Amino acid sequence: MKNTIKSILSTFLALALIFTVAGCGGTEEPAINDDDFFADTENVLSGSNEGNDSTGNQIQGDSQTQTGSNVQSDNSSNNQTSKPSNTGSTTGGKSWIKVLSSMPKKLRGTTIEMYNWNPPNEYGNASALMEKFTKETGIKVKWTTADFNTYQTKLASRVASDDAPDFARTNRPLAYNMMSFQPLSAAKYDFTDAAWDQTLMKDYSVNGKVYATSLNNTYISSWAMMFYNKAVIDKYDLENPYQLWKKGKWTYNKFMSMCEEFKKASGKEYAAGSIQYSGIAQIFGIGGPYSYNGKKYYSMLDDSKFLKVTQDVVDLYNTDKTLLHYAVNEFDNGEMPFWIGSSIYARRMNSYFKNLKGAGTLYCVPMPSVDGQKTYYQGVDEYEAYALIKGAKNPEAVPYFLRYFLDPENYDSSSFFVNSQAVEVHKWCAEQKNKLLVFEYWDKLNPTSFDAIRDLKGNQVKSFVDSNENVINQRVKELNDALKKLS
Amino acid sequence: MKAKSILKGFGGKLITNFIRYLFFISLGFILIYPFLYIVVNAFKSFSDTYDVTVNWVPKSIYLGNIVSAFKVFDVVNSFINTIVYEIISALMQFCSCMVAAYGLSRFKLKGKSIMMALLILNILVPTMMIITPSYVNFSRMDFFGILGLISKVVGTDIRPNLIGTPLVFHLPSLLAVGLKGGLFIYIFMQFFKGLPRELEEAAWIDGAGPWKTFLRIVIPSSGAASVTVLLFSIVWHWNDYYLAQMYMEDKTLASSLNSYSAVLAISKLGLDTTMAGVSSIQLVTAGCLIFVLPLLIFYLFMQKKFINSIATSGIVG
Repeated sequence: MKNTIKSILSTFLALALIFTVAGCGGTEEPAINDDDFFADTENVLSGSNEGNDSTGNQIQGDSQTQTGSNVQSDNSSNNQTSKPSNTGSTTGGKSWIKVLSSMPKKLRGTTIEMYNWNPPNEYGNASALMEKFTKETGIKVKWTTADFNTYQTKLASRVASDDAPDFARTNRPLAYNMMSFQPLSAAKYDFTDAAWDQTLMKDYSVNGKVYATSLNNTYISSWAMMFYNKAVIDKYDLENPYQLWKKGKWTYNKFMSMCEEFKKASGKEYAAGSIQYSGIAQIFGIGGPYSYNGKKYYSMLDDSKFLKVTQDVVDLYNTDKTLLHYAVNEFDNGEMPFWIGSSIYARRMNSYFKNLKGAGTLYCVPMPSVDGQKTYYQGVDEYEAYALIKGAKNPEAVPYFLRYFLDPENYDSSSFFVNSQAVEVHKWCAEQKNKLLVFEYWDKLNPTSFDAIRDLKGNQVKSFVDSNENVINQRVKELNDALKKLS
Repeated sequence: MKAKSILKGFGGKLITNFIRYLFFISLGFILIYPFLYIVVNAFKSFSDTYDVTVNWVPKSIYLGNIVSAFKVFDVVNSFINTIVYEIISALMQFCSCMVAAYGLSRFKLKGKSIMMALLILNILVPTMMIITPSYVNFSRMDFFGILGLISKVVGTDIRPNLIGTPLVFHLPSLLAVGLKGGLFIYIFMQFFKGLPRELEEAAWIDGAGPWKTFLRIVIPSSGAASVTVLLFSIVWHWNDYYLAQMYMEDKTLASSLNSYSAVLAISKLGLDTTMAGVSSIQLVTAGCLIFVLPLLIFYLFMQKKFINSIATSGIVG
């Protein structure tokens, strides 16, 4: 009897031991807790410089700045809407917290390599962001900065030698630059979420396969915008462009009349600088000399609107003498009220406009709308897009990093942009539906011709364009040939 | 009449001289203008740079740009990298090309015509065209496929990855196939063909072998060509940024300069400094001056020998 009880007890104990071990073994690591991210979010990059510039002075804000407001417009063709900021999802779609919390556990402890021609400090405090991401997800991020001149060649060489990075920056959807990319489907991630920039992905799609992506409303994208020197505006008693924009009266005709007003009052020859001639052309829906319709590249040279807009823009430079090419120093020295550029120049880390940024008189507004034109075209200077590279070792981890890295919530807007108005304008531009990218400017296609175009009068533009027809056709052919290889 | 003709001759000569001097001074100015521009802007302060009244003569000599350029371009480390990767390669190239040229010019070899064709190909084909296969080659370095074969047998890839190591420069230079190697071999070949055979025959009679003849007779006689090739090799390696950017993460002086960006300046100097008044033009010109100075000093010492060698060997460009 005693022995029987002993054996039953022993069996029971042994079973208890087995079940206990079985319960402990194979336990999966808990998914990332939402609370962990919420707890740390406030500390990310905010530091002690909230609202201050690097010298500790308060960043001057335009007294009319209204953050988070909806832009009221009495001009329906302006197509202006401004979505209010929503903590956790300023990009729309799932928040980055939710996305990272659903990250597969197998990605923990892996490494991804980014290939970029910009160093991390181009993006504010990207190094801290990467560290934070690694801490929270266990994915290590290696940032390789490559020289821009040898970027494509080195990337192709690395792919050929089976040493490809996982993802790389790309700024324009040129088919022959996409030869090292692989479709995003390799990441096994759902990019249809509203957080991702669908317009950009459409530009980067070939035969239904998407090759690059970015987030909506990321701070590090580059939208065409108009800069103005508030001191000059006030000095010559011009209307405030920001107020005009808020009232829906910031139009091309208004901009031109203000330029004329400035020239008369000041006696200066020019009223606006422009980093690229196409800054004005884009508001008319015209990009560069060729375009892409999702299936093939095609020349724009036979488009009568292209010719007319190019003629008009050239006249702005040479005949009307409203625009001066480049003119960075002139604008910075207060010689003109306006400068056409992109949101890159509104960043604090950008070295342009030292004087204006130091004085706190640099402001920006979106490019004006065209009177009578139904569609508002938001010019894109260049995309901040990222592509998966052929031979990537760890493509599945890439979307999680991008979702975190590109989200504006993870940036301190006050230290990223020069002022809150720039943040507002950048956000508004990102929300516009009709975005227009210039694939290549004239100077990239034919460097000697770019100087020539700026010396022409309007009626000479057609012969200039005709003389460059072969160059454009050749480029279109090269791109379409590359498209076939991609397909 | 005589006086008139003398005067006419004198006037004609004066005009000719005047035109000649005008032409060469103008040409000299065009050639020296970029250097003058660099020197002047490297020592201009920020306020002088954007002062419309200051053109060629700054109000004061400002050394801050040089100091900033040292930081931005990390001159000390870049200089060391340039010496390690490029200059040592240049010297190796010089030696190996001389040996290769002597062999090709003096000895009857099987397949010499093929070697000559490859030599011409090396001169004609630009580096950019073969950079990707070169990169792949160096990333999995192999010798006649032997290491690859062993890798297949063993199951692990034992082919070394030379990318990022100095060997990507030193190995081709050691084998006379580095930067402009074909051209240097060709220069030496033409020179050696012009050397009298009697010199070498005299050495052979005295019992010297090919190596001793080469070291004791040929090299001392090749002064002109040696100086030319050495100078060109050093200058071209010094100026090379493309291969340095493709193969190396470390920066040489040339690749540092080439990959300058305003963001880089801000990251090295701090935003406040750049906002306060260091501009790109000042930094770049100061960097260019630092870059050019060692070559200038080197040329000053070698100038006489270089001109003599060009005159003697008839090699130009």
